[in-house]
Amino acid sequence: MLSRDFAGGLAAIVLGSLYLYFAFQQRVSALADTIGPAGMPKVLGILMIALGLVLCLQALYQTYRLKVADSRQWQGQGRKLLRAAGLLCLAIAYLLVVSYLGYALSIAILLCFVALYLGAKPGWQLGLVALGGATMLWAIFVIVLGVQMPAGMLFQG
Amino acid sequence: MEAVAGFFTQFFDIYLILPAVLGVAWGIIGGSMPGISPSITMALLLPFTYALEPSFAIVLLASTYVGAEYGGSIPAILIRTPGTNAAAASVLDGYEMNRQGKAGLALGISLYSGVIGSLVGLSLLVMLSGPLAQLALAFTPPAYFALGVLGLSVIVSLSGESLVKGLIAALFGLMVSTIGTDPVSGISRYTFGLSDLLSGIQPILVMVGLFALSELLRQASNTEDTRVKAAPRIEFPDNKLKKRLILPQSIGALFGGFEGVMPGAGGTVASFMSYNEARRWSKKPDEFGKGSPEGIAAPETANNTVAETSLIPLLSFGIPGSNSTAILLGGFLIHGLVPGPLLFARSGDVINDLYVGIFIAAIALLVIGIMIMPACIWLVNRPRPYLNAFILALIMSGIYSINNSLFELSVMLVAGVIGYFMRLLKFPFLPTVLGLVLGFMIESNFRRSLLLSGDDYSIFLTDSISLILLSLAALFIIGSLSRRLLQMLFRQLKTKVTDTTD
Amino acid sequence: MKLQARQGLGILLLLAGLGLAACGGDSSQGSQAAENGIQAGSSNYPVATITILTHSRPGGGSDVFLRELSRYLAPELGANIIVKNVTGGSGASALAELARAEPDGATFYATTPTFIYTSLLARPAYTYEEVDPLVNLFIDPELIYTAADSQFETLDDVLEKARNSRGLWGAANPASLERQSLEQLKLATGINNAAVISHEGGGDLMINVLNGTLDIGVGEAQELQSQLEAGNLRVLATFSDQRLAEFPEVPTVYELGHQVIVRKFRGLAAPQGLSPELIQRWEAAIQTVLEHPEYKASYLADNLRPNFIAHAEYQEFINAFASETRDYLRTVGIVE
Repeated sequence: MLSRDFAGGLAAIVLGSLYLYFAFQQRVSALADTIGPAGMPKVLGILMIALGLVLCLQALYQTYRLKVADSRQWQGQGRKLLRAAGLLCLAIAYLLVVSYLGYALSIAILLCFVALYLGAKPGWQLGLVALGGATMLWAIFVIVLGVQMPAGMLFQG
Repeated sequence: MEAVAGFFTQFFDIYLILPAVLGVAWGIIGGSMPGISPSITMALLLPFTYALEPSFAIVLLASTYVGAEYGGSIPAILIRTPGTNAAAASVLDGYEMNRQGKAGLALGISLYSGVIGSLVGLSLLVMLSGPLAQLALAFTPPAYFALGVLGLSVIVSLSGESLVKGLIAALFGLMVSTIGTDPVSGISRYTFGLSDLLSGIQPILVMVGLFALSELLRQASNTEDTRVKAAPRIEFPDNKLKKRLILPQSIGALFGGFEGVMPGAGGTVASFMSYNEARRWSKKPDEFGKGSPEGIAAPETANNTVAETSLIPLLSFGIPGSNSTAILLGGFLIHGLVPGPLLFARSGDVINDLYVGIFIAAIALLVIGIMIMPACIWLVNRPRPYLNAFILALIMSGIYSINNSLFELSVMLVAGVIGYFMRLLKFPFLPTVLGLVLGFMIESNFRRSLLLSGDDYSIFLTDSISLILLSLAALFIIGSLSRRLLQMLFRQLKTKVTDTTD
Repeated sequence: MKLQARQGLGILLLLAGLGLAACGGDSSQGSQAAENGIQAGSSNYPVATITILTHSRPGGGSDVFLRELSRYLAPELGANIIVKNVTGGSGASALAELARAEPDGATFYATTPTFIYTSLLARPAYTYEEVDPLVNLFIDPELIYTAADSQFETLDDVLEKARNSRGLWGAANPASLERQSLEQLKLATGINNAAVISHEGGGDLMINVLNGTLDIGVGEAQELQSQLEAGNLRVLATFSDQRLAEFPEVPTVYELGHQVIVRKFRGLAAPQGLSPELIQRWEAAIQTVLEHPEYKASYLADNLRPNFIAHAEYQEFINAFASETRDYLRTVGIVE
């Protein structure tokens, strides 16, 4: 089983390579200096790949020489990942509906569903918190700070 | 002397109390909303200052700045969300103290240090405006480059257990900082044709994602509520602790005082540098990162000092060094006052009012800070499902408010996911934040310096400020590296003796 | 002490302002848009409230200019005017909001060269071609300045140094009109040995001119005002088409024999399809307002130079400006 460090090193190598690829695609204009807009990105990309390799090697050394790696270090991560993904989906859902439902309604729904998802019991208390919380946020952002939140399509005109 | 005399004659002008108190209250509200920076808080207020008296308007805006710099530490401590860029350094120990049920004390230390920082900053502003302004003028591109490198040198000691991972995290931050318009040639980099990316990715989006959202995602699988609840009252440090805080506060005031003066540097470097130095000089360096009071005092003193000293280049040259002072400049211009060399001669009374107003604001900060804290602590003691739902709603609202942009909200979500995986793979966040904040400054000034010198690298050694700062950075890096090596050897010896059980 | 009664009044106004924001909040007009509310008298303007969008932050250049303008323009048109700051996307967000708005005379946008630059540099959802340039109000002169204690007395001294050794010229931002003007000056004079160094805004630039790091900088009169009055800076030339009233002794770059004229415009744009009556109405109102003695005193003090361009010509002006900018960006290789 891969250790966390090995996975981290791999991620760094992939990210560095992608970044480096685009650095080589970078257009350079006649206004550029000697280093140019791609100069620092190239250095960063190469360093990233190099450090990723170092981390991978370190991880391998630890796994096989010192036998530090423990297959249990990934245990239970799958369930945690799914739980986190669920919460993320709720946030993305908010992002998608806020322009249509408007800020006040969307934020109330977000509060309600996230609290439910995180283990709040359905009931009058939940509704009260969702409504109260949404009212409070609406009051702070829209009334006090005067931010223009999406009004929504439903209540326009 | 005149300034001091004016100070006292106007001290009892109660009409300055109104804008100072209002400004501080407004600033705390805005600053404590994640994503709403001090400059946005001030900008939201700016349109209303048209109708006000000049002194009244300027004091109102300046007090807002003071309040917002403090306000940023409230969510940093309570919900691991830096309200402002500069508060990112306070997240570490502030949130840890909160988890240990010491939220009241953490907030107390932050407030106490913030007020001290404001007062020190004000004294520097009133008494050393002239000399410090000259310092700002002496800062050339190579010096800014060196300042950025000095800031980055902190990474070596902030990387946690693995230096390689810390460096990878820092590189990631530096990579993100290259997105946007190239600072030298003006060509677009990594924007993929998106106009939303032309001006780059704002650090606050990444910070809120990394710190706050990743924490929420991590807690999503935790259904048990095992938090230590804090007593809902503010607690000020006792005399023993006060003594212990003197050193970190002095360090914070020193860095904040200098950095505020330098246009463009902002308060973030000062808070990180002072955090790092406070740890280096501390008698209990091991407590840092695990809820050290010193780890809150140093950065909070620093960023509150910056709020005052950043007024020096604005008032002396008419040059705004940060977004917040740019808004303040707008406030001056609206009232037909042009900050610059002649401002003191032409509108000395407004300047005096400004000084008095900031002094009142520092006092008001203390009073209002104490008043609102019980409510804040009560809020974070709610059952976890409700609390976390509220935090998510709060950051989603705050980030949207920055530019009314759903795109930026998505950037924050992506940063949250990245943060989740960084935590899973045990990468530290702070190097990423530093790389992101400093990357632009380092790259642009490096290339600018070489343009100035005609690609002659010796410019970094011939510029005296640059030479000093680079030497300091080298010293820090060597010092931290050798400490790291020693620790590693020591640990290996220990593991050999005790054998691996973990 | 002084003016205490008025300060007391100030706070009442502030609170009233907050209240107004509260009322406007839910009807999608937040307090970021200040109520410059001068209520219409006898009016037959089709809408009660006009919104002028700007990509500038509150307190920024365009924002200050618009709020001042709307105080005089509102009674002239017979409608309320609200300034709304649509920041983000370097102007693309504001442009998109304008392009999507109904051409009913309720929504306008304050144009500056930024909206052309963003259209050309990125691929925003809407570009300058999808909106209708309405009228122009001002053209800000761009000045070439140096430190008062520098060796340069004229623009020729600067060019001489660039020819003999190496010129160090500063611009405020990498992709900006100021940068473009200096690059065009290089092209016009045939000087290759001058580095045009871009900065992070006008203030950053000015410091490096003041401390002698740079030979010259380019900036707007308003930014330089306080340092000029204090005698720390010297203006060498202006990129405008003729000499400026405030600096009669300063020559234009053009009359010095270099064919570069820079027009940093400030005007208004409307959604496409605005009725001819409304266009006429705005043309008339803007012309009247520019002559308003109080407003005139105010904008002249801010170093704004009126340069009214009517709708018919403004379209051409913007298109010409855009194609000139596009040519420049292509020549130097910034865009394909």
